[in-house]
Amino acid sequence: MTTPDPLKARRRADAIGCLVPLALAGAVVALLAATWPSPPEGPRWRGAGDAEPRSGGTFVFHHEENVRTLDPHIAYDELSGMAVRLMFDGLLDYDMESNLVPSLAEAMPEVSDGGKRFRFRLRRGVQFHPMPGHPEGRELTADDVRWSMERLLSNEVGSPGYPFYSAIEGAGEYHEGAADHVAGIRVIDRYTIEFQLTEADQTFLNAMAMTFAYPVPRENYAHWGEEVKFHPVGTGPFVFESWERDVELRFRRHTRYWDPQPNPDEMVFQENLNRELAALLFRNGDLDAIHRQSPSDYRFFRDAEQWADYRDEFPRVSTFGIGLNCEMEPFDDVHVRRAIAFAIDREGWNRARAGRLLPAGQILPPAIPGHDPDLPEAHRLDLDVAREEMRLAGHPDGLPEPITVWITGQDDTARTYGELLQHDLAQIGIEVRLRFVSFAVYLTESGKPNTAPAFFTGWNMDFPDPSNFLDILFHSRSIHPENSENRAFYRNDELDGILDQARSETDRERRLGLYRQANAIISRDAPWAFTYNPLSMELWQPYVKGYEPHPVWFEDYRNVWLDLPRERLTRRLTGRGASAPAVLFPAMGAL
Amino acid sequence: MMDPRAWRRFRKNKGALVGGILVVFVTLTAVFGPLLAPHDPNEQLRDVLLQDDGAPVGIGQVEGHPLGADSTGRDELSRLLYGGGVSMMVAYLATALAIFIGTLAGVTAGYFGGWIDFGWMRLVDLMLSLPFLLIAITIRRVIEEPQLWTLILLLSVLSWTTLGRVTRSKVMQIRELEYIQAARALDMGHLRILLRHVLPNALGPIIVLGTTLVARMIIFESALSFLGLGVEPPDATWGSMLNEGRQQMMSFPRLMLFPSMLIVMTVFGFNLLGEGLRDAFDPKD
Amino acid sequence: MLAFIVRRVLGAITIVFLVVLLVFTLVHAIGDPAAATLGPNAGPEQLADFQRKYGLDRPLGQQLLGYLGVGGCVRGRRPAIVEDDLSAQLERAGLDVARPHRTSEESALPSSHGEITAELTKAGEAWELALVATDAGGAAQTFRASGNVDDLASEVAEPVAAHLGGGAVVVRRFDRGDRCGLLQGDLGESFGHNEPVADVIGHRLPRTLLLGAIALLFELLFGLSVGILAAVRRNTWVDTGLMSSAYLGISLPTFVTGPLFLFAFAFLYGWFPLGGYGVGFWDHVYHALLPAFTLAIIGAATYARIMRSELVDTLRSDFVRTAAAKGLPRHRVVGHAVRNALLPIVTMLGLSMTLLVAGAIITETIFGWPGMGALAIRAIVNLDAPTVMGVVVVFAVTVQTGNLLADIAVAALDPRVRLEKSG
Repeated sequence: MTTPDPLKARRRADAIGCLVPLALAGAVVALLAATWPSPPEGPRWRGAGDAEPRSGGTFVFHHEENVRTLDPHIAYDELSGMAVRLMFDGLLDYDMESNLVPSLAEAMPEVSDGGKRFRFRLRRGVQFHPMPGHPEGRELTADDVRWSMERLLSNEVGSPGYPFYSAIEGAGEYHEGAADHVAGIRVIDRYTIEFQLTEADQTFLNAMAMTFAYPVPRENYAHWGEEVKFHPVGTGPFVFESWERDVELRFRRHTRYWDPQPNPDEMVFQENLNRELAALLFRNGDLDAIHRQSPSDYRFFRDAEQWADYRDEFPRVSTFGIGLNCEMEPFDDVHVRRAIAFAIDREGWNRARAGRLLPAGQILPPAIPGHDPDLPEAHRLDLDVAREEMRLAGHPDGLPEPITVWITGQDDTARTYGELLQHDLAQIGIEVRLRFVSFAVYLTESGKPNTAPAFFTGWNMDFPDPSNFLDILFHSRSIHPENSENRAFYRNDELDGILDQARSETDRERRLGLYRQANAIISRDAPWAFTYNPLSMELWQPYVKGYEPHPVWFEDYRNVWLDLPRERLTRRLTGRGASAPAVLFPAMGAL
Repeated sequence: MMDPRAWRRFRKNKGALVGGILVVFVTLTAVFGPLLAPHDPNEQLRDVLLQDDGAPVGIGQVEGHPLGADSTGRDELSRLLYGGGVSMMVAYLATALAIFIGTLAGVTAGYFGGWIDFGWMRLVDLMLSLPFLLIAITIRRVIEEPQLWTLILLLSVLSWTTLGRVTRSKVMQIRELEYIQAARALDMGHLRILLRHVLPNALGPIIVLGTTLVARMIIFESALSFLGLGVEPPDATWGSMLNEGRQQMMSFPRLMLFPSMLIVMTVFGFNLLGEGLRDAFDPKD
Repeated sequence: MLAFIVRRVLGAITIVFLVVLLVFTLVHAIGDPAAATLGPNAGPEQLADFQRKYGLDRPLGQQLLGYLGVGGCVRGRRPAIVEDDLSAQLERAGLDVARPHRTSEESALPSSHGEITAELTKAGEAWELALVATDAGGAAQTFRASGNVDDLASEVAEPVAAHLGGGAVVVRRFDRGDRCGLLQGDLGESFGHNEPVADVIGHRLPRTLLLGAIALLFELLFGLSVGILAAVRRNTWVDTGLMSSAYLGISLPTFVTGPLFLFAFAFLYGWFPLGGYGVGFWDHVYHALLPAFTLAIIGAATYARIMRSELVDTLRSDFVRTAAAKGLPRHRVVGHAVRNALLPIVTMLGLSMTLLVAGAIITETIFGWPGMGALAIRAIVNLDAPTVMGVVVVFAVTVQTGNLLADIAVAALDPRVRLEKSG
């Protein structure tokens, strides 16, 4: 037997060995390619075909961020709102046409004293959820409404909703601690409560329909103190059950709800679940509804025939744009602002975002009264106008210095929008530097004077009324040394006058006329360069019934019921992923 | 002062050869990429390269744009070429800086010992006790308008520690060698001893670690881009392209796969090369 | 040995302190959290309130001392509210109140004045106030009140005013008397979550540890077996094949593999859950498998390399050769050698754990794993400084403890190390 030459053997080993990872990778790819399952195109489960609404089942929905609080007086972000809407009711609510309708109130309030006094009569027999001291719950009374409003208005709670209710007589004194009660809130009897305003305010009823004004029981707050945000008690259709932080919230059906309706027995709200994962889970049948998709998923669902009956695409009532700080160079020159407004290629943006943007040229979105589809002043792409404005501003060849534009978020969506703007403004000789900031920094810093020169911004309506856009964003009253809502620091006496007049104007037509005028002024002066109103697409599983995207509330699932197919009834709910581990580890199922 | 035997050993190592070829190839592309790029990488040809529903054109669909476009209508090939240049520049510069800090730390700590050693090693401990990505994110938040050099600085400051430690222990061995002791006894200047005798002998591990450090820098830069903290738009790196492509994964997997493959290939190349160098300098078999 | 341990522990404490110092400065440079926390509608006085409640109106140095719990510790909103209430009521009673511990304006104090020091403790649901008032003549008296936090100040205000008898009064300290500040193991209160940071982290840390533990298990399992196999069959195609695969392994970053695995193995094949955390322990484990595997690839490859090179060295060492020459069966020879080669692996473990915890940020993001990574990123984004600090402190302590244990283990096993370290 001859001994093999060790060096030769070594070299051969080297040569073969180098190929091993390649072969390995190749084998894996080949194996995957051979067994690659085709992804499910359509829904995995159909409905059972039961036309009669019924209760039962578990409804699972999600949001990509985290619920911050379950206290309606504090909650102001959309996803805390989603949770709050399941557990609480207001005196008033909106129907599917955005009209105000009574909810906990028996009827719309009686208005007197020239639109300054509102008398609400409460529905009888409305029950709070079970709470400490009341294992069966108890009835809602006018005292609860008053106590809730006073808590909302107190200085200690620090509710972001306070400014909406400052027109109530005595609210200011109470807020500053100079009075024990709010003079303008009067309990007439067990079921009647009256609000007195200092001046007529056409938006007061809208404010009463906001989640801030949802009544809560005093005992629950007394019992839990600061912990109350983890133990919410309301009158709504669902009772809070548990909250696994960063994972999910669970709610069960309120069996003594005043307005009996078929509902799922359990609602599971998965938080902190990003949109890509959510889309996969939804296609897998593990989520019952989704909203917001990545461009890629959006394209898939838009083109998928099998989902056509279970989706709705609609414009959100919000407007986006580039805020331009009118106190800072070079945006103190109206011509520079107008040049920017006319240089943005909104159609191009829409195309780069897979067709989900409706080009916007004015602050009021189409769904808000006062919007003018033929507004002559509306912003649009017109490079001739833009260049002319640059010439008028004294910069025919563009700005000598680059401008800094703040943009919120760090993800690639923000990056893409930033790059789109950079590209468009380069056409008129403006170089754009982007400053990425978190939403928190944007809120803090852009509200201070002379801080953020230009910034991507937007506004979601709080309630469907033009004043919610115009007053808050452009009235000089919204300018403060800190936390200004008028982040463009735009001051125009003419506009202020028109808005003040409109606020107390009781004639609807005249009021709308004033708002139309204001809308035009803002487009003309361009404190924002308006860009788009976003389109939104929501999808739900075929067995989800009774759901229709609400014009005012985000993802309002309080009226859904489940037409469950047989397979779904036995779904084992193990959080995300209904596919049970038992499939993989049979032994584990027994544990 | 490279040992000729080391070079021979290196040449025989097939893995190192493959790694070396990959590295040379990528480096050349990075240097000459901008010259080869057929288009301006930042120009958005929205009318030409985006279809009516907004879908970017694919591979070979439009003449002159062999790899198609990204989601805002920019030529993908040009972006990959330019992006590679920026990626490699960041990686090389950050590595060079990290090697400088690490070598300075290792050599002074190992040679002088005492308080200098103590100070440097506590600094190393401190750096290792900081969660790297978290600190990087925080620092990027503090800097108002981050530019390329801040990214380079950040990467290097946060990753010189291993190199510092290894160099130190190597130098501690060298210090005990007789001729160094002799040189010290002869009162030769410290700087001269360090530069003439200590550093050349410690060069082996520095080169080896430096090579793998380039690989790590590419990963770190991409990781920061993944978290949206990479280079400033509209410029591209492979990391930022990967991140942009991630959201288009379902419809246009190529937008993610191209930069991913380039990153993996480059990192693989540097790792192989580093291992080949290690074998060459410090043979075991 | 004891001296070595003491020295190492002291070193570790110094490091953690330096980390706190560094990160505290950094985090507070990002921005003012008041408006970020309170939202767009908050008025100026609400902002000021917030800053006062959390002590953000004080100079950075004092804030740091407060965070550590050295003198004038502010925790959450309560102590500051009681102090403000009391000051307001004393001023209404005609006293001139100065609060140098809030403003550091020592020079402006009048020459003759009374002094107040107070401690606030929470006992179950009730709050207790213990206040010592010293009048200008030096007569001290203690006042106590307990119950609802909002009423504490009014309970003692009148008697205190009576005891001091007018003129100027200086509030020296107004602190939380119970556990407060980092030195007493208290991490403060999160702005964003409105609960103690310890609770916020307490919810997430076990999740990250679970993920890290499973990943570490994978690393050792794959890494060691591959390393041993390669060393035993060294210089054959098995060895080179495994080792070059390991090189491919360390070249696969999680942000490349994660999304691919998720799409292929969780969505298309359906073998694993689509991200998330699940309900119940075994379900958590099941949900952790895929992210842990993603996380483990690089570490496994690293362990494989180390194991191989150590084992190759050991197998060539004299005692192993002797054992083999004596005719010991091959598997027992290898067994001995492996045990010897494990020493450097132990040192690696400490470092490995830190890499897993820190490196998990990206993997957690991809797989929607609700651990420390997601928490930390969100805290930075929301300017929630106490939470960021908490995460960093926990991380630094973990790292230092891991290193310490590894060092002690190695020192116990190998006395040379002790000598080198002390040299």
